[in-house]
Amino acid sequence: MEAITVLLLLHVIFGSPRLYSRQALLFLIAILIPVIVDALFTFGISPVQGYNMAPSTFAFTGILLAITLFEYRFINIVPIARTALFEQMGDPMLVIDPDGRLADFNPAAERLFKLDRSTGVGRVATECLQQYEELRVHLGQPGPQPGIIAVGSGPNRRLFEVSVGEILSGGRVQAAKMVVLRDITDRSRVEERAVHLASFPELTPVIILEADVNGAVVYANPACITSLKAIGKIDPRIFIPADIRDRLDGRAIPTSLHEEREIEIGDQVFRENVYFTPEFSSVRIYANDITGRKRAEEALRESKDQFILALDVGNAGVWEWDIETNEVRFDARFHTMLGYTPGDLPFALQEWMSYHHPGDIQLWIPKAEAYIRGDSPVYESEHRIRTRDGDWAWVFTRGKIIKRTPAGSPKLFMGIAINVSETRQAEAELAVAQQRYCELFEGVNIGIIRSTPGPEGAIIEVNPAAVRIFEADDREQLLTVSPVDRYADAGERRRISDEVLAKGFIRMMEVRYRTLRGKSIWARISSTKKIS
Amino acid sequence: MIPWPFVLLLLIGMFIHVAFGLYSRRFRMQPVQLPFEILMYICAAWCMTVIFDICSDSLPFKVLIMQVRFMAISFIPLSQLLIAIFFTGRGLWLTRRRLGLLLVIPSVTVVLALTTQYNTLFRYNYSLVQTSAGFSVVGFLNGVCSSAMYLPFN
Repeated sequence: MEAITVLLLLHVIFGSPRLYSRQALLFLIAILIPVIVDALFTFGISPVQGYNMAPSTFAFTGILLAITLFEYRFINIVPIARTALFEQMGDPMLVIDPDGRLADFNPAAERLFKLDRSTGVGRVATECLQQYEELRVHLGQPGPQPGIIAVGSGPNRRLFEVSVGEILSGGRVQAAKMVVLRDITDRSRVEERAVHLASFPELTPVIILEADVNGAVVYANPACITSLKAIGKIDPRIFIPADIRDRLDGRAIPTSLHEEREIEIGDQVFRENVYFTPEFSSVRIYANDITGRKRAEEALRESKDQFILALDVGNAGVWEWDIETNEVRFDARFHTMLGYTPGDLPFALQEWMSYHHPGDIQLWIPKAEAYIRGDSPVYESEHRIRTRDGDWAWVFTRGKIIKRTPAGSPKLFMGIAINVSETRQAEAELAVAQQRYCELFEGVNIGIIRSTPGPEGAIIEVNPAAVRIFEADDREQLLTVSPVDRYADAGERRRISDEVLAKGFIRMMEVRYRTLRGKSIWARISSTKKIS
Repeated sequence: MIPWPFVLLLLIGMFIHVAFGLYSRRFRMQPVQLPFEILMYICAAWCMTVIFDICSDSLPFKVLIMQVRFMAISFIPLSQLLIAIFFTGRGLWLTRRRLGLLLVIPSVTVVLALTTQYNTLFRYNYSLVQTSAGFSVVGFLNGVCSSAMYLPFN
């Protein structure tokens, strides 16, 4: 026992760092002195004949123990760290001898690979670990480059970094291989997460820029570079507003701050969110190119202005019909168009229908329903609506479905309405005038002929009196003859035509004509030039 | 007559070892602490029994003291081995079975020491022997087991 003790301590003395070596040396001397004295006494050698001096040496060995305890902190610090590391560290470790057998493994490896220390030590490593194919590959390849293996599956899947090192005996001969598996599952997840997160600024079309306290750009994402190329610039600092650059004076960012602004670079407009981030001593800028949107907004504004102008000029209004709730809404112009003040008109469709002329309801409702069903490509209607004064206003309306439900059913029906009462009245008056003209044209006893100008010309229209004067069988016969042939003097036609074209009219000119039956007649004519 | 120089030396050794034993209790979380503490107390006990031995002239008392001493010092090599084992971090090697085997020789030694009057295996033929320092100690002859045990023990 004493010999084993001595050997163990000698191993520490010659194979451990200085502190442990000194501890072991002093302790060994302290325990050997009484043993040696005791042995000498056994062989009859003692300063005091017949008395074993061994216990008396304890006073001296106590000094050695005191040095060991207080100077070299024996007990407090013992060279078990390496073994403790091996035994207690969470990373699985395997020691494999030159024959490929498991020489040792720590409890972490025991748990991971479900090894049994009592039966596992001494077995061929590849047999014990045969279900861990990836690890077996690494066992035969000691080297500085660690490999990565996966153990387990599903939620219990863990990733390990495998390092295989050589344990050399006497500094030359390989005594064993040390396989250390470092659990990098969490690290790997964090790295994956970091890579995943890092891809956001790299892939986003939003320009991201970070500048330090001196205004120097420390990060610019690819979208920033692309935008710079697009606008023909190189320096990403153009995205840092001038006043922000001025505020960066090289000192730490004092407070967290967020500003939003628009800046113009050349023809482009960018909306920027500027973040002062004191925790990173930086300014971060997130910029969006809103040039297209700005232009669209301007175009929309212009279009809206034109639309409003058109509504104002055309005495028109806007209506909308919520098909799901059967509610109708009208804008202020619609109200004004019919003489109402905004808010007078009802919301309920049923009530709104009572504002329509009874004779017209069956005119516009079927059209609207056909359009809503999809049977008609367009909804247009002209019908009468009661005005505030109680009169009926003719309204031309045109609408379109502008919103549908997720299922595709029509939801919102919207359109414009134009008060066409005046047009309607003008048309009616025109019809009356035309009727009167026709009656006059047909009933008068004076021949009226409309013809095209020029030396030849063609007769376009004639009235019954003209048919009688020229002794034609009917109106159609007179329309087919040449006007030139009706003049007794063919040159007369040219002169009259030139004069009408030059002066615009002639009055009461006496001209000799020839009827279709060859009879010569004198007529007094008046003619007016009409331009169509 | 009390041999004061020897007694004082032994007293110093005894107190030092008791003190170290108590001091070591500060590091009870270390596995090496317990065998170290036991070793210190055994050494102190050895010193104490020797004090009683050299201060007495009674042979039966000296034999009794010797028996008591062996109850302690039989475990000195084992304590030292345990210290070395734990000090070098080989604590896992120490299973219950192995500890039991290591306890065999000390236990047999204690049994033989306690039954020394009834057999000649360990020590026998006790007598008072006068030392050159003027005090008496126990003289004895070694039995067959004494040397046999001494060698593997130490």
